[in-house]
Amino acid sequence: MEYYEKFTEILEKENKKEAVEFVLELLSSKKTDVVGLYTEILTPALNGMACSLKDKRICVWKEHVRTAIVRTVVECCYPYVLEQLNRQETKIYGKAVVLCPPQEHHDLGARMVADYFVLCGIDAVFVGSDTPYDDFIGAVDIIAPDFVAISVSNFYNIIVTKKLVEDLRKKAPSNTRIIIGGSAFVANSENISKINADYYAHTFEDIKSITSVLKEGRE
Amino acid sequence: MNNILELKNINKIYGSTIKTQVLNNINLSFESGSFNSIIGQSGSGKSTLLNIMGTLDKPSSGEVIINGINIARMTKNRLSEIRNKSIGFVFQFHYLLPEFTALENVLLPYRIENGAVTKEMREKAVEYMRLVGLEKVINNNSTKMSGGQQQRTAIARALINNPQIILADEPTGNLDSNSTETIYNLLRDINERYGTTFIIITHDRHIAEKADRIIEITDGKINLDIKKQ
Repeated sequence: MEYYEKFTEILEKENKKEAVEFVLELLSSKKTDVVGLYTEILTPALNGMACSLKDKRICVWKEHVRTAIVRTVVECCYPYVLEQLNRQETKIYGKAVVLCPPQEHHDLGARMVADYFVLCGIDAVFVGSDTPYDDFIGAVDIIAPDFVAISVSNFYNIIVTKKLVEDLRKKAPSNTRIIIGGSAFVANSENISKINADYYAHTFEDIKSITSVLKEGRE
Repeated sequence: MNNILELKNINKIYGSTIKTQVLNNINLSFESGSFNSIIGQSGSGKSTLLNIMGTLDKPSSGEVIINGINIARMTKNRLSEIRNKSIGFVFQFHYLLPEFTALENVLLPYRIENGAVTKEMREKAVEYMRLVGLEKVINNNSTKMSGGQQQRTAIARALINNPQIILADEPTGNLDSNSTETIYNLLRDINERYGTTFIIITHDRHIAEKADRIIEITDGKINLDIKKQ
């Protein structure tokens, strides 16, 4: 909790250098690991961004600046993802693509999820935000991943996600499993059942549990 | 929260020799004070659905229930009364009468219902024109107003009888993005201020994504019905 509070304090000052140094020190001194960092510090910090009364006119600006700082922090963590992977002696068992539907611009949650897949022994391709519809379908057909993870933040994008999942069912290999997640489903869990996905994931433990089925079959 | 409007097993079929089913077994209910959008491709049946909700059209079968009362049992006069008092309409085209001033247009639904306009009602109309940001042009003829101003006048007109429900069919369809944002903020403000239920048909993503609920109609059926919270 104290690390979260310290990090949000740095984030509110919008001090990128200090944010990166603070997080790298936490990881290098093993005060937390990548999952702990993403789960207990970065995600709550992103979700808890508030706009003070004096900042009201530039709320979106501030949100974007702070999100960009967190993005830099996440990218700086990749060596620690690999280090943790080596330490766990985890083999790579499969492949995942992690992406957002067309016009979904919030992709930082998906970026962290890509690292969760790697830590679970699944090679993850992070495609990012606003993936064009045809590329989405075409790439999944060509890459033939074991998992397609679709992150949705804006609830309007549930509409296109439903269609995407229906089309993926027709085009993707039959053993490709479709996972959905993101704040659009956190805000209203009833929306999960309206998409014909194989799994819903919210936490690292969910990803671990979903991917473990594949691992058991390939060990 | 109670349902202000319910549709039960609504079907709409046009034509007798060659039948076209436009709506297929639609079941929907709308909570009082909610802000809803309906989306769908052209020809999907969404405008027909809105017309049935607004009692402007009748379903081939099924029930429309407004405030717990099945409108099928109402006389034509009672139905007109319900429509004029309980439901406000905003269309893509404003349908303002060009011979009248903006204020006179706003007062029209009241005049149809009650005849002469009282001083209090005139003040109320001016208040609604102030709410939509048009207090300075109340005496302008509608033809002397911009598209955004005309649409805001149409919204003030929809409000004049304090309707519980406002049905809007592409209310920003003819407007630029700035005016669209103004109209959306206005509708949301009315929803929060008066607890008015909104059901808005829109092609505009920026309007739809700000609603609390999105209903997607495909080929006359509900393809998806999602709520934000």
